[in-house]
Amino acid sequence: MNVYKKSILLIIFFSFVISCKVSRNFEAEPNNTFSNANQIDINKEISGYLDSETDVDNFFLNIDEEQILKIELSGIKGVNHALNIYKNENSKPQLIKVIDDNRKSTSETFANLYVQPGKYILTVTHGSRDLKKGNNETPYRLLVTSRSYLNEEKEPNDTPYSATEIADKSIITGYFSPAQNSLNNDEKNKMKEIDWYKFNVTITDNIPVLIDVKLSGVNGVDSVISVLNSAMEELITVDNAGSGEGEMITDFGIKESGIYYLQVSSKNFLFNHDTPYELRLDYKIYDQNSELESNNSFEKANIILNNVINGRIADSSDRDYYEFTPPFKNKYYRISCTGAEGLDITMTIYDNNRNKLFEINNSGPGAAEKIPYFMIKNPIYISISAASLSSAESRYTLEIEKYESNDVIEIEPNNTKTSANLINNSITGFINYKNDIDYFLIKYDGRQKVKITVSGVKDGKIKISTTDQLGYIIKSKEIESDEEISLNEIFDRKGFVIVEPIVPNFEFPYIITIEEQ
Amino acid sequence: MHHYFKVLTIIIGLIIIGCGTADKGNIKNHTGENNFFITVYDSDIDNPENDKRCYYMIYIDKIESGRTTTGLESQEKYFDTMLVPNRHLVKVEKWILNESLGRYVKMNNIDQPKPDFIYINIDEDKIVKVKLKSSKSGIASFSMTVE
Repeated sequence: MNVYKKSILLIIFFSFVISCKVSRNFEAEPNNTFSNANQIDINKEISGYLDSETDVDNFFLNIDEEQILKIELSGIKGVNHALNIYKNENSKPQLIKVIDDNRKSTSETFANLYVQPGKYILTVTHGSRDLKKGNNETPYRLLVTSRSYLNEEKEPNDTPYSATEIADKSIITGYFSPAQNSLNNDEKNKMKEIDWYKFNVTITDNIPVLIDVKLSGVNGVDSVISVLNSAMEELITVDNAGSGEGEMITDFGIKESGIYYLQVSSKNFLFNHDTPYELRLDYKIYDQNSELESNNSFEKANIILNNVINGRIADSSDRDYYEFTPPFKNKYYRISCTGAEGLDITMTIYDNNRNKLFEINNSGPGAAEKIPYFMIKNPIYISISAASLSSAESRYTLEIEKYESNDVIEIEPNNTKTSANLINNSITGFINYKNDIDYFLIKYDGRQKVKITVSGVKDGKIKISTTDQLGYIIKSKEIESDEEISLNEIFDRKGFVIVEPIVPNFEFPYIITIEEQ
Repeated sequence: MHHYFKVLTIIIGLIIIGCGTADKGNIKNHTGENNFFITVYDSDIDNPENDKRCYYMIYIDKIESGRTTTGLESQEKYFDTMLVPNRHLVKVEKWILNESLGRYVKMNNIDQPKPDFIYINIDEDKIVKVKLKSSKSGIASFSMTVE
């Protein structure tokens, strides 16, 4: 009997304890206004009901020191709910963030609200998308946890005005959280959650600054980085890698002092509330031998001053332009571009008027592209692009070297009758690129029989043709490797010799010699 | 009457000499010490559409010796060279421009001039001039003068 009484007393005691605990962690209605908001504490879960379509539950937190809060609101079956966050500014609550994934029954999470001493109000309300309706059977649970602030983004940093400062050689962590920002009404980025960072650049002696930005990958998120100037002009956007991978901006040149902004965002409203990203910024002084992005057009072409440039292909659409003014006119130059392993370089040459002269992509990925001898009379433009990238670090070196020769060397471009090189006695030529056709003009006062001797291209195969004065082919011969062949031809005042590659070799020359008979 | 005949003879003579001089001069510009000349043309081209650009390969004693100048079929195309005194076999081969290919191609055998050869005798200090007149039908006729 005694035992029976004791058991009943124990059951009553525990029921009392449990009921007290539940009642303590439940919202106390009415809490529909800021003034009658329920106070909540960090690390203490509270529950409540959105029991009607008009129900709004307000909770407030008193913060006594700088910290980061994680806010988790569980889902309510069949209800699209949202969490509005207000900060008390001058005794008036200011809406600073809306957490709403626009879906029914799902939880809402905000990984890192930056707070300073003061009062914050959390309002559990209905989301904006679906029909508002109550649920008095399934309660929500609201939990706020905290951690110390250390080198993190300061959410909300959703605009340039609230951008988090980032300095040279610093690393900041942030989250792709929440999934979207319904306060973002920007036409281009509507509803997009963007983390804004700002940094200050000071230019001295007109020497540009190069910045490197590195964003780590976060599982399930396909990220994008952009750099903007203070006029909100987008200078560069990088979106090379896929989901879960990082993004990188390397050696991006800044020529003017001022405040610049970095935008970090995810594509397709992807989020990760648990794993932070790391954002690293580094400055360095530009050296004249480095590429200065952005140089993606003729207008923004980098000037080659020291005959060498180290550059990088950021992505498959990246095209780097350089301008080269020959210090000595009418001289031959060798141009070569060597790239990182796997980088399949395409080198395109344009004349001073930006007309494309030719495109070189002779070698495969990882191999150098070369123009052995190229007569440069006026400034030229060189563009470097890639058919395939090696990695995010697709670096290359472009070199231009003056070449002295006593031989008469062909002058490219000579791909047509009208641009044919005149041969007097002898000329040395090269197959500069795939399908390179070289035209040579032979001229006499009258009819002339000539013996044409051609020494072929070592390790290659070429076809040599002679033409009538209109350029129509009369005869052709193929030349294997560096064998020497001769052919007799009669030219009526003028004709052409045409050299075409069959098996191209870009290293070794062919030599054409003309003897009158 | 005798007087008129004399004037007519002089006029015809002048015309022949005039024509001959022009032709001869044309060749002379390119001859040097050559003693064999051949001129080829098509005599019955009456439509510019059918007047194609061509040349003739010249084989002497079955060895390729060169080619004539290029020109329209209706135009005279010529070739000259120096031959040692002897009897020689001269054979021609017509090549015609295929504009779509951008090159001259050898005409089919059935369309080659017939006959496509002539035997000539080269004597010391003599010049042999051969004129080949071809026609659409492929029938060709050779005429030869020795100077």
